Amino acid sequence: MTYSKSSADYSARYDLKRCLKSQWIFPFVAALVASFIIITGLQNYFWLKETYPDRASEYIHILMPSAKRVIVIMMGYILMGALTAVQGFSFLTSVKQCNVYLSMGITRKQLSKNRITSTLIYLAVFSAVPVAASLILNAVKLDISGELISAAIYYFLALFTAAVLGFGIGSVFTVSVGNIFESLVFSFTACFMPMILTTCIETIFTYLVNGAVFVNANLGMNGGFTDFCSTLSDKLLLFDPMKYLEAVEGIGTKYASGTAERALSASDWFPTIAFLIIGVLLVALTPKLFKKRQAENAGMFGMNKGAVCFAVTIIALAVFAFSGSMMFYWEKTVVYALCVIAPCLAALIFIAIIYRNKKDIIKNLKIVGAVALADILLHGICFTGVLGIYTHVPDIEDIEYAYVSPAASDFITTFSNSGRTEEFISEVYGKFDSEEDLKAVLAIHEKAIHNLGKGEHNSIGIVYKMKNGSEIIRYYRDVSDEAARESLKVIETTWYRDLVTDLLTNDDFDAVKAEEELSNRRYELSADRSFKNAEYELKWNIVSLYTQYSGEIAITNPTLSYGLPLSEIMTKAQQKQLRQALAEDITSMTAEDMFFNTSKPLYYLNFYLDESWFPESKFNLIYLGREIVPVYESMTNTVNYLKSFNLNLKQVTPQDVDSVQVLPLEDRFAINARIGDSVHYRLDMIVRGSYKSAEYETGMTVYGDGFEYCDNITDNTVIEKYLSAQRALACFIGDKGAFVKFNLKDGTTFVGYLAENSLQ
Amino acid sequence: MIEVKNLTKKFGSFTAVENISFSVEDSSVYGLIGYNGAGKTTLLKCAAGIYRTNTGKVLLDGENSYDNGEIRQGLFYIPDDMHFFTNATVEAMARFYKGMYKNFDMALFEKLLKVFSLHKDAKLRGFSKGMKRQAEIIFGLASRPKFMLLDEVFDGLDPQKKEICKNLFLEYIADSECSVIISSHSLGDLANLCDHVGLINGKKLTINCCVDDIAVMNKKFRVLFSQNIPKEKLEVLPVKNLHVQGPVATFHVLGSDNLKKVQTAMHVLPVSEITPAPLTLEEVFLSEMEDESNDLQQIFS
Repeated sequence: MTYSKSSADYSARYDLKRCLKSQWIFPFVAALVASFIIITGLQNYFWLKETYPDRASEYIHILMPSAKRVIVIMMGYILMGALTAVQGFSFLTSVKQCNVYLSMGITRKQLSKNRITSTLIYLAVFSAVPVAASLILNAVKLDISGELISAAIYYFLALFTAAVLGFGIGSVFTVSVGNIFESLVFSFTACFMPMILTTCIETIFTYLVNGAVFVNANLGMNGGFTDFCSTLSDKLLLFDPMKYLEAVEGIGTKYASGTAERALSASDWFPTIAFLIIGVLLVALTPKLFKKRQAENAGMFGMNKGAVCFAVTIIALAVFAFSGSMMFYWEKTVVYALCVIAPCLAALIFIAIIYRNKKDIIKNLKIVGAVALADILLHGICFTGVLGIYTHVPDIEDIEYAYVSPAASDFITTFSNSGRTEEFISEVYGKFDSEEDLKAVLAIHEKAIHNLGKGEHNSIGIVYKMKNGSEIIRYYRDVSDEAARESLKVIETTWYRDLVTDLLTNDDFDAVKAEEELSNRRYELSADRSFKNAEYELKWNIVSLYTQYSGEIAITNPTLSYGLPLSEIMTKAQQKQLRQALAEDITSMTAEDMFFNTSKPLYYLNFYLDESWFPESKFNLIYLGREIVPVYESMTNTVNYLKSFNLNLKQVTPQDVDSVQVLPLEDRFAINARIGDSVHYRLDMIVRGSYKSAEYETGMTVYGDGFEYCDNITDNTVIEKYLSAQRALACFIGDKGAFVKFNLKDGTTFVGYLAENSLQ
Repeated sequence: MIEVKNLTKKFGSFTAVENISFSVEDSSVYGLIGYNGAGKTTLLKCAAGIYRTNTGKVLLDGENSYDNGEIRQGLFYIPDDMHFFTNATVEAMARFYKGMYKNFDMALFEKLLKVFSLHKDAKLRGFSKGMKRQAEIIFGLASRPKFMLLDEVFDGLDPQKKEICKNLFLEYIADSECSVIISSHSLGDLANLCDHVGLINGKKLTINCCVDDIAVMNKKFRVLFSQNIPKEKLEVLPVKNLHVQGPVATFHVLGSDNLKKVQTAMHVLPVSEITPAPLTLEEVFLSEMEDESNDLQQIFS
């Protein structure tokens, strides 16, 4: 008998056939699940559009439903690739199977080549399936265009890249280790490594570094929690193969207005290509590692020291990141201790699982020692604030413009099945580009640096766009009251005052159009995209504050119990003059005037917002706006203008009141903003707080206002005293005192605030 | 022809086999014997190309067996611990081997099934150890290899099946010029089957010779001395299993060199009568292992 190359090819071909029969399973399942996720996501949109036609934007086509779903799919594809690799090369982890495969007439190179070839075929096919499913759905329900197809190709390549990367990782580890357990654990750890590393870096700079440089945390926007600016996590996004597609969310989506949500650019291809190259390199490395593999390692644990060290490092970092994230919930010292102990413990447990016997565990304790040392080093970096970077303040000459997010300055309410949540978040102000305004920003920055960690709950964020194109982003947590108050001086800047004047007096400002432009520009790709978005977001916020959107402004008495729509007493021209006067007064106010005013307002101006967010009012008002502007006596322009009108606002007298209920401030469970001893409860929250349980239109229940358990006081002397002393809230007040609810004889109610010294 | 040249295999700091060399001609069977853990399986796995040697090599018809797909097309390795696919039938495994071995002979496979009374549709997981062994032998022979490496191939077989297997191997070897290395603890089986034997002791090949030469090169003696002779006087000789009772001494001598030495020594000792007898393979093995034995009488005292 002769044994030639053709004999060897014969068995190689057969082996390839066997691989083709077995390697399809995981890619098939992944494609199925991915298609389901995409189709249900798009179907969800179609259902929403049919059920709430006013809400959904009109799309010409939409390729992917949302970034979050795409991340899940990418994660699935990477892990699927790794699993397929483990499946294909798992025979190496079995002594018995090694005896068969490695003694036969087929080389190691051919064995690995067959598994790689068969898998890559299936990865390519099953990467196309979910994208094709979306294209078909678009063709049936919507439309197809060149842009959509380009985006589809992009996503196909991204999925294929994810799968190849996972396959490369899984192959390298499986041919290098002794058993399936290590193969799976090490492969999956490696797949999650970029996410763990970026999260770890994020944790360090967000939670552990005093003066979170590079990242923002909690810089929210009214009406949505979009991140204000490009952060470290955004930049690091591109290094995470599971999440980088978040940066291209919107490609393949086109609106009926004709604009594309986000166009594909040349730089978008870079991460995909980079990850594909890495994946291909790993796959190419596999046959070489396989050739070097010692078959006697089959079934063994801990044979590959390098892989063990790698896995221990990543696991320790993951535990470190998780421990650091507890910073918002636990005491700092406890968290720092946890950050040191937990990773070492995790490393020790992992070593014990791998090596299992006491002698080998002790022999490998040096790995745990290395983890401890690295941990301590990291903490050293954290404590120094990254070697002092956070104290750097740029020169004014180098700054092009800046944004500031002052200490909690705005309030939102969200409803969920668990009830109502109120919380203060920070608005974003800017862009400040005049010298005067930039000086104000730098003053805020200096105050923040020198008062870091001296307070609680107050945070300040600052973003500089430099003339050389770079960005400086800082976020300072737990600044002192002094720094928090300084940050509120953003309302004294030229930018803010010009904006208020523009919005209150410029009839050409179209809020509807502004909102539309914001939506369309949401995913603009430029270094400035977030800054531009912020500018529009803030305009929209102020629009919602002082808007002509619904066209109605109501003027109420100081108890917010009775009011009139301005349209009943003023012409449009007169309303404009009122707004002009208001603009003049607001733009001459200081931060103290606006946020810490202790005088009692003469009136309140209520600016209408979207009524669908609020339960039906029992008040004798048409609508209650989200923003309520107090008119103080010191606002002379507005007060003098209003004097010329017969407002005839009904005032509440003690005779109108049936009973009062008093709820101490400290009993109020709502989250509130604090600056020092001053607490800020928004007026609208108080007003809404007086509503009884009402079914919200989505079926969620708004919980009671807290007064249910308060006694009803009917003593007329007390009623008279409280009625005289009460005021509605608009500013930061002391943290003593109480809310007082007046139950009127006509069935209406209103809520005010009583200072401590007014309480009985 | 199989040639093992200066083969050393280590696992970390542990040396399993050291500097082993021997060859197996075509149509020849080489028996590999040694105590448990001596390195027989390691040696076979190196020959099969599963393990990479630290030094030395294994040549099959002059070509290195390690990672050589072409030459290993003619090699079939039957390990001690067999592997079959989960839930596979006999026929399914045969199809697998047919796919991997171009020369796999289905007709021969069917014939061998009948010889061993196995059913091709039967699931292998339901087989006894012996039946699995038979199945593996069938697969091996049906692959028509040029080189066979058999690790404890008779383990689990009943006497009848063992005899059938031996005859099959002999027939096949004669027909195909196959070179076979077989390891076994059943020295009696090896003695009937093998042309050559090698004994691995202390990581090295201490005996490597023809089976026929075993009888010539290794002998046991019963010596009657004309007077009582102290044991110490005989212990200096290269003998094993020495027993002295009065004027009678019995011992084994392994190797032709040692035989000469002992024969020379006998001339100067007061020998009345000397009776040589050939040693069986088992006796040779036990004599070689003599130093490792424990004093069993002391174990339980």
